[in-house]
This record gives sequence, C-alpha cells and structure tokens, in this order.
Amino acid sequence: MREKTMKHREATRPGNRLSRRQLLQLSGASALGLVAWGSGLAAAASRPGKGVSGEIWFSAQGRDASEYSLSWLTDGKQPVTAASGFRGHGAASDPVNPRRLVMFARRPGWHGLWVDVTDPDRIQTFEAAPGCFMHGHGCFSADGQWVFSTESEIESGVGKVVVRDSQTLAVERVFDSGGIGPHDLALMPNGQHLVVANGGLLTHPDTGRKVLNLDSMRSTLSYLDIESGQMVEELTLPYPKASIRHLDVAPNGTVAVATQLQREAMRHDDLVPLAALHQPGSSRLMELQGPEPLLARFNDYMGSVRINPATGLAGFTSPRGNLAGFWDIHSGELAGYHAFFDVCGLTVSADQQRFVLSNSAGEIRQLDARTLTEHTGLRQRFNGLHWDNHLFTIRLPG
Amino acid sequence: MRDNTATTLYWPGWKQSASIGVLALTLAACGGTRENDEAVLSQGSLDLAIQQLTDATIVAGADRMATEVETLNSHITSFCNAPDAAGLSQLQGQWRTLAAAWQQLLPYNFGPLNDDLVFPPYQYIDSYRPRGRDYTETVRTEIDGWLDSDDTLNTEYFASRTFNRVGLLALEITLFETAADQGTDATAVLGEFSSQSRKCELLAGLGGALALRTDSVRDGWSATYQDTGTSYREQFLSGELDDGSTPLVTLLTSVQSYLDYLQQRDVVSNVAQISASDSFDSWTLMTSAIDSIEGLLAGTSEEQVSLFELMTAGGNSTAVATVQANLQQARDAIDSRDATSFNAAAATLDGNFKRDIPDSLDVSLGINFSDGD
Repeated sequence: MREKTMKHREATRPGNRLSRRQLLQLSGASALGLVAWGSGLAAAASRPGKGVSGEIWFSAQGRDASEYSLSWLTDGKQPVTAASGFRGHGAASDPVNPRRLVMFARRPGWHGLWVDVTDPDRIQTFEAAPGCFMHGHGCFSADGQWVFSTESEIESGVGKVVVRDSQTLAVERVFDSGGIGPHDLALMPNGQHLVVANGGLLTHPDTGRKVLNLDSMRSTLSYLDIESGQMVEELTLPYPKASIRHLDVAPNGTVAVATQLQREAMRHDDLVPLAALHQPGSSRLMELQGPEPLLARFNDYMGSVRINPATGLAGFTSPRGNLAGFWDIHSGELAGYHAFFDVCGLTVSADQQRFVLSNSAGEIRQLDARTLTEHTGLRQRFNGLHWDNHLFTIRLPG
Repeated sequence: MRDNTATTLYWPGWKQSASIGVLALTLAACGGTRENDEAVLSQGSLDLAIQQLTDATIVAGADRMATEVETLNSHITSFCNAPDAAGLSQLQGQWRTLAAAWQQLLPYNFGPLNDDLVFPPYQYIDSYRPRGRDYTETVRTEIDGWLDSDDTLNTEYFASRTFNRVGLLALEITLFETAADQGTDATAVLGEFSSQSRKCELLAGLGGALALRTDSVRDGWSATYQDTGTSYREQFLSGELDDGSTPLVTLLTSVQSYLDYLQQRDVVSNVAQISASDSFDSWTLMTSAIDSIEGLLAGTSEEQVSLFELMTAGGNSTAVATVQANLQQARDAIDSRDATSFNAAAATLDGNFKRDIPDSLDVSLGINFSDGD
C-alpha cells in the first residue's frame, strides 16, 4: 500500500468538499489514485495511540465541510475525528483487523477514507471507480482481503459493486449490482454472497441528488455471488415506490431491510410498511406491520437498520419521525419503540446487550436490547459533534 | 444508572407498559416583560419569545378548546332538556366555534395532544388528522347501530370507542344531519332529536368523551403532565423534552407537519362538509389556522417579542417579508375559495418552516432529518 503520513497541513486542509481534481492536485496522485493528507482536525483531537483497545463506535460526522470526518468513541469516551474533507455516509471495519476502518462518501460521492484507529494520523483517501460515483456504503470480505462498495456508472446509471484490494485500495473488479441506485450492501454469513439494496433511484452527478426516474423506479434486494458477480436471487416489495435503501444481516442469514418511500411519485396517501425481513429459504420479503399511528410517525422514511443477534430484535430509525422502532426478526412482531430527536445512527454494543443510537446533535442513547428500556444514566452529548446517518461497533482486543 | 420511560410493546395482542421516571425540572428564567423595544437575536430573547408565544398561542389555544367543549356540553344539556330550534341552532353554532378553535390549536400537535405514539389523543378529537381518511360513512353506520342498540350511551361508553367513531366528526354528523336519511334540514334534524331520546344520549355521550380529551390536553399544558407533578408548559420551556429535542425545533417541525398535512390531505376540500353554511365552511377553519400561525410568528400583542422581530434583528428581514407574503397568499386563496392556490401556499409556508425560519433564527432542525439518505 502506498500511503503518506502528512501532518500539519492546515494550509491545504479543505474548506469545502473537494473535487477529484483538487484532491489530486493537493496530494500528487499515485499510480493507484491513492491520495492522503493530514488533518488539522484529526491532529487536534485526542489521540489514542497504538495499543488502543476496547469498544469503539464509529460514524461519519460533521455538519459542514470544515467538520466532515470519520469519528469514533472508545468505550464511549475520547472522541477522535479523522477529517475527510467530504461528507461520509456508511463505513465498515476489516473483520480480521478491526482497527482498519473505511468510510464511503455520501452520494453522489467521489472518495472513500481509510484509517487505522490505532494510528489516526495515518489516513488515506481513495476514489470512486473510473466513470463511477459512490452511493455511500461498503463492506469487507470475510477474510478482510476485499472491500466492496456500491457505486453507479455515471453515464449509464447502471448500479455497480466495486471490489477493491483492501491493502492497496486499488479497484480489482467491478460487477453489476442487479439494479439502479445500489445503496447499502452486506456480506452474507456464508461469505460467498453479497446482499445489495438497489434503491431503484436513478441519479446523475450533474443533477446532484435529484431522482430522474420516479415513474419507472424499480427497487430490488439482490443477492450476488462475490466470485462471479452473478445474481443468485432477487426480491421485490409489492410497493413499487418503496426504495429499499438499508439492510442488515443476522447470523442465520435473515436480512432486515429499511425503505424510504417516494411519496411524491404516488397517487395515494395510504400507509406503506417501511420495514421488511427476508428469512432464509423464503421466496418473499415479509413486511413488518404495526399500529397505524406508530407507522405513520416514521414519515415514510427509515434511515438505518441494525439486527441484534443476541435478542433477535431489529431496530429501525427514522430521523424524520424522531423515532426508533424494533421488531422481532423471528415472529415479525413489533417489540417496542423509542422517541429520540433526529435519530438515525443505530448499532449494537459489542456485548449485544444494548442498542446504541446517535443523532445529529452529538447525542448518544443506549437501550436495553431485550426490554428496550433506555439507560438514561448512559446518555451522552458531545458538543460540536454531529453524528451522520450510520453508527457502527467494533471491539479491539486488549 | 436509572431507567427512563420504558415503552415495550407487543403486537398484536397489546401489552403496553410504560414506567415514567420523575423528571427533575426547572423553569427557565426568561423574564416577564420586554424592557425595551429593540429586539436582539440571542438565546435569552429567543427563550423569552418562545415563552410568550407558548402562553399566548398554545396554552391559550388548549384552554380555549377545553372551554368551547364545556360550552358545547352546557348547550347540549339545555337542548336535550327541551329540544327546540333555537337550541339546535345554538348547538350547531357552538360546534362551528369549536371546530375553528381546533384548527387554531392543531398546528401545535405535540406534548399533551400527541403524547402517545400508538393512541395519540389528537386523533380522538379529529379522526381526519392522522392520515386524511374520511370516516363519515363509518360514523353514520355506527350511529345507526348505537341508536338501535341497548347500550348505555354515556361518556364512559364513548371514551372507550376507537378514534374514528368519536370526536368532532361524530358530533358534526349527529348535530347537522338526520340519522334516517342524512338530511341536513334543521327541522328534520330537530324532529329526530325530539322523537328519539337516544339521539340526545348519543350527543351527550360524545360531548362528554370529547371533554375528557380536551380537559386532559388543557391540564397537561397548564397543570400536571402525565403524573409528573409539573405541567408540560414547564417541561417544554425548560427544554426537558424526553426525545432530546429543543422547544423551538419541536414547535417549528410541528407547524411544518401541519402545513404539510393541509396540502397533502387537501383539508380545505374535505373537512366540515356537513356543517357548511352561508357563513361557515372549511375556509373559515383555514382562516383560523392561518390566524394562529401568523400569531405565532408575529405575536398577538405589542408586549410580545415575536419570532419575526428576532428574525429581523438577526438580519433576516427578507425572510420575514417572504413569510409574510406567503401568509398573504394563503389569505388571498381563502378569500377567492381557491383550493389549489391555498394548498400551494400551504406548501410554500411548509418550506418556510423547514428552511427560512429556522435559518433566520440560527436553529438547526437536524442534518439527518433534513437531508438523510
């Protein structure tokens, strides 16, 4: 891997989101397209050095270009930020070396960020695959050798899964995602298949986040073979304007999906279930139901989903409803809910005893993973931090 | 460590448990009156403005709503003792007054009005609000059944009915049309009340059940909220909101949600249809709503520090002018009875509450809320 450790580059620290060209100019592009720069923000933060251990929660963070970073808390303390210069979205950790994190730019995104939490001054950025832009999510292969990310071909709009060498971050392969607008993806427990949420929404960087195909959108949940890139299974929901956007996978292969309804393209106001499960062996997605007033509170929008393997509960968050809802993944029954302002980040504690929620006000809340009772004594607020949509957990051995 | 409000729920076959921790509350010292006329955009002035608008618009609105229901029930008692045309006219007039009071309170659909995610109180007052569904036929069918049944039609009976059987719509149908053939001629309606004592029982029961809701909302705002020993007003103004939101964000998103509802559900074309007359219709209700929202922004008295003043003090007089123009556009649409223009104005105002107003007051509604992915 080619990388640089560049500290104290205040003069070149980006004040706004950088274009690909600016990035290359700043760093001097390598043959692999890898670029890196130090961060005044990162350098100014508290710095756990080598040997850091414990439970780490990490998330894209920041309200504007001067704040955008990948940030993490170790054992709920010591916020560390690694400035990115771009707004991140999803992130992933190497399952073999969990200290190695990758963050992906929010759509339409051009960069990813690589960081080692034990040495946060060493950060790297990498670019979207040639002719592509990123959708914001990615994951590692089971052996940690490959990084998969959801991207789209700029001109055709065809959804892609881009495979990078996790050491060099060089693009090794690209295959179709099975649809338009791939967003979240995850590795299945068999280590051979990826499950991809193809949101169905066609966008083009020239028009930002504007959806260009609301009338014809088709959202799918696609299973892809990571070796051949071939689709092995595809599922859809009965609601054509429900964009499958986020997902999580239980150890038994149950997949929980969260959707975002494109209400402006619909001709009715009827409530549509926003969450669904795909259980192993089933040929259909099971919609998760609940009382109408509660479902209405999600405001047609679920932003994040996480399964707690220990309790069999899946949590879904809605910043537009200021609400998190929880369903049993075995029975499909609603288990509870929790109101929390602008909540979107959602993860499971390393011991799987708590759901951890974050919001854009820099707040963290923790719920008992079985009773869904909040441990209010564990409430935290990190002034100046603004957690973005997704929160993740790793545990580093001592 | 202590446990907070637990809401664990099993569906179907509900078992809902909620334990509510006692909140330690302090009322923010905001000052009583403005000491000079020069508003400055600061946290202190914003707190004062929120306190004043809360008292002048929301607490007063909840109080008015409860008072109007009390008046309605008083009229029901008088009317049912001796049904006559004057009594019916008075009752119908009071229902219209009540409906207008409701539209003045509904933009502030949080706190006591909306404190249960599954059974929110507001929907028992206005069944149209949750999803814009017209339950008129449902209520008509239910009324036929109630009139034919042996059930005791009292407050307790209707307090336990589902939300889409009770509230303003059920009262409107009972008061303004005959159960027999949905005729709206006052003489025929009066005749039915005179000939069927159960219709008066029905009316009294519906009125009593509505009073339970509106009294609870008023008490929640002014006296004690959910057995905490303090009012929601105090909790709201001190920023002790359990979902972690701030008072101004809660307020702005609530009004924004109401404006979204007005246009998405085409409210002006769907509510108060049976009670419409030469001097009252759904446009009357929209005037009440716009009055309330304008009062929220501009203040209702000269003593108030208004949000408009603070926006101006923050250097955002252009945004104030924009919002004022959009309020006027809504009023023009009301004057011309133009639903399309009114809904467009509501959508524009919705955008103002999402962007212009919070930006001008330097308030963030939340990055995930506003532009999540």
